[in-house]
Amino acid sequence: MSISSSAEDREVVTSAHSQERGATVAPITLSERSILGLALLRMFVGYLWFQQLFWKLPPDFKGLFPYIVRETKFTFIPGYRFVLQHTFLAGCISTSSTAGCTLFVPLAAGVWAAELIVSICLLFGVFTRLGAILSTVLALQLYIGLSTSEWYWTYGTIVLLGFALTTVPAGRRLGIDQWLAPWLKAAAVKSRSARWVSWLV
Amino acid sequence: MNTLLRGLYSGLMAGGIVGMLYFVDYGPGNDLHGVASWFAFDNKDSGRLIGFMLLIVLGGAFGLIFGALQGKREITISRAIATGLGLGVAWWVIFAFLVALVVGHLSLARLTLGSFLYPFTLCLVYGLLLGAIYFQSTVRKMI
Repeated sequence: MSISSSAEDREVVTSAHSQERGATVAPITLSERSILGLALLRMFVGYLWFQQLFWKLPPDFKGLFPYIVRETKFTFIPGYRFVLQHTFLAGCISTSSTAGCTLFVPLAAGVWAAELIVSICLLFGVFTRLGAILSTVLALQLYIGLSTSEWYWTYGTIVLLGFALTTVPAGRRLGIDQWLAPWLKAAAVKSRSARWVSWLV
Repeated sequence: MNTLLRGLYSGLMAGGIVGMLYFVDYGPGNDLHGVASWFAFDNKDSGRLIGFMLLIVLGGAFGLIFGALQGKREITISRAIATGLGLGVAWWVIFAFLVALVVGHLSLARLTLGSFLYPFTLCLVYGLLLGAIYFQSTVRKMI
């Protein structure tokens, strides 16, 4: 048995290393079936958010109120309860109704609008990545506030679904991004803002 | 495949996917009763199944219209999506609104943001799917 340090051996090792490096950076191309599967996943996640609009409809957004109250009880981040009590629940005189609340309706309208944007982005595949990022953020908020009150993977899964859709261009099939993407790519050559916006499709 | 058959295939696929979306709902599939009630076909036992079948049949019919509208022109993605969304709006106006009003005895007083937004959005989703699937089927043929 010998330990060789000849130039030839070093060459073989270098070649193997470069091949390994080459293998790890080789681009992965999604097949048509894979991207269609991801597009369907995107639509169902969008539909998940879409359905949640209907139990907290405007103008009073009443359905959201008990969940905000629950978040103040179950959040696992210190200080989050304080934030909710001084924003969504500011001025409220009871935990069972929105009576007296000064900021609840405008803030709840913001939540509802954000969920509507997520639904539209994911259902229609328009600015899909923007919708997926927003979905991840909204789901993270739910995870922070409610995960300890239920099976915690319920909210963890929604966070991960949003994150997964952030990483792939799922709107490029069965979505409006299929039309938007090449148009924005062409505009991105001349415009910096188009370059930024094109990242969101 | 000629444009009519391609449209029929795309419409059936799009109707089927929207039907599946309706199934992933409280109940499950409670809102399929709403589809059946457009034509006053709803009943407690088979209303959901009737609603599901209606989505597929209407999907196929609108797919045929889509195919007929294309003629022999070469389709582009923008035109496919625009035509599809247009037909989605037409579906809502004709069936979820006018037919539901006349045949299903839908009361205008009961029309709320929720009762408008839910079927309208799903009609648009159908239209988008119709256009996108139709376009996709022509791309495959070119390859």
